[in-house]
Amino acid sequence: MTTTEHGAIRLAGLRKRYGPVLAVDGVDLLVAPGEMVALLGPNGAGKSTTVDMLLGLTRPDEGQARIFGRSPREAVAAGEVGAMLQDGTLLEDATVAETVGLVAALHRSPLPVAEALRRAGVTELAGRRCGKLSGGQQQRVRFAVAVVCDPDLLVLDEPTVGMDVETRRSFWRSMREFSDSGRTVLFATHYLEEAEEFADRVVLMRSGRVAADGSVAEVRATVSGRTLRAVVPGMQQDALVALPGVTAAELRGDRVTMACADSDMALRALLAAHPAAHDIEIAAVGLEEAFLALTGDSDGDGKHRVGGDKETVR
Amino acid sequence: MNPAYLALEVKRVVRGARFMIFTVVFPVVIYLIDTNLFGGNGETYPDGVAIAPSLMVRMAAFGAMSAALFTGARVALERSSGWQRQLRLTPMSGSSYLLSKAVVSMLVALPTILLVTLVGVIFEHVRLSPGSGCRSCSGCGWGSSRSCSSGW
Repeated sequence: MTTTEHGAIRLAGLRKRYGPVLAVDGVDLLVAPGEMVALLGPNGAGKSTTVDMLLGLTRPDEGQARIFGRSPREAVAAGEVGAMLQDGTLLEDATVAETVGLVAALHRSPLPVAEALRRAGVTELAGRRCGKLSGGQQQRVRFAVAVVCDPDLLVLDEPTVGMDVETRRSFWRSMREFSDSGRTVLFATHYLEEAEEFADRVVLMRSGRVAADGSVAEVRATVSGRTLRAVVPGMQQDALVALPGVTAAELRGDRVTMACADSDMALRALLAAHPAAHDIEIAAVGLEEAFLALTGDSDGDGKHRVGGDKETVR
Repeated sequence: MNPAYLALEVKRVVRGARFMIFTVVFPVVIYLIDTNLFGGNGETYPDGVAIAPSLMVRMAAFGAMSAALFTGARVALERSSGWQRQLRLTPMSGSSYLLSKAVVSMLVALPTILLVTLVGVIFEHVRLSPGSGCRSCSGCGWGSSRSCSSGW
């Protein structure tokens, strides 16, 4: 099969500049058919621009994007790609069934509208006007719009924004159902637990580049070391960082959180210097810490944390 | 362009109450009022043009243009809302998108043109030769697709 040779997605040296900002700075990515890939990164990392170039909505300055060995436009025309865009809205004056039917009418071999609605779990909303739906319901309708062409590749940009926990869970269930049939899914997200739980592979972007690429375990492993948490009465920030084996530390009241290259050494030194330390926990870094470590210290603009993204990184 | 898509687009435009009032009801009512005020009994303008038939063509043209603007404004709305980006992920090309909007605007203008003409013929006893009748209707219809493009 040709699809296996070409990969579902092949991005080669993609670059895009918006005025002085280099939004995407040389992204290479090969996704095999059947993979479920999470595209992670803070705001402004270039996720959406990359997705736009992949779908042929934005022309790259350099490099090229291929979907199943074809240009994005050809793949779209062949109905091989379905997408939920970040800013894609629905027609406010049309019902759910009409909106999905409209898109279905444009494709050559679409799913029956009822089937697309069922897959997205919006069958009972079919007769409602899109403008009257809640944010989470609209997202699910947009999912129905994305799958109605029966695509082999599904691209989702922030798919679960605005969904409550229950909706989100059922959304991922339908996504699983979709990918279990051997099809490829690429989703961009802020939510680390979604990537951790659902993706076979995580691609982490920072400042327009791929900062890490691999399975969740591999990405986690690129950030070596452990996190040490403890309650230490009367602790000073300077003294914390001075401990051997500690790479970074945070002090809140008496609670300390230390990123350790060598947690054993750090713990011995901590206990020797501060016998009163208690409630000690040592944990391997999670995807969240890896995310913060890999995306946090940016080059040159003086920010050391993801800043505005912190709230969304839960 | 495919019929199912066009049908849904037409349905979306025609369904609105505002559309019905401004493009269907309004021209007919104004036509009846104006002809009864100024154009009864075959009265003419100073230059000898009969009022009732001329007003009929004007109101038909008004309805057709308003129908077209309703459709044309949607293009701008769909652009700003991001719906056009979603449509770019379908096999439909940009030019057939615009073409289908123009066709939709002609289709939704048609009922207004026919209705005003019918009211003119039945209630105001307007008589046009088949040739000029066709010309006035098709002129309005074609013109509506032009006005639709002003919304782009």
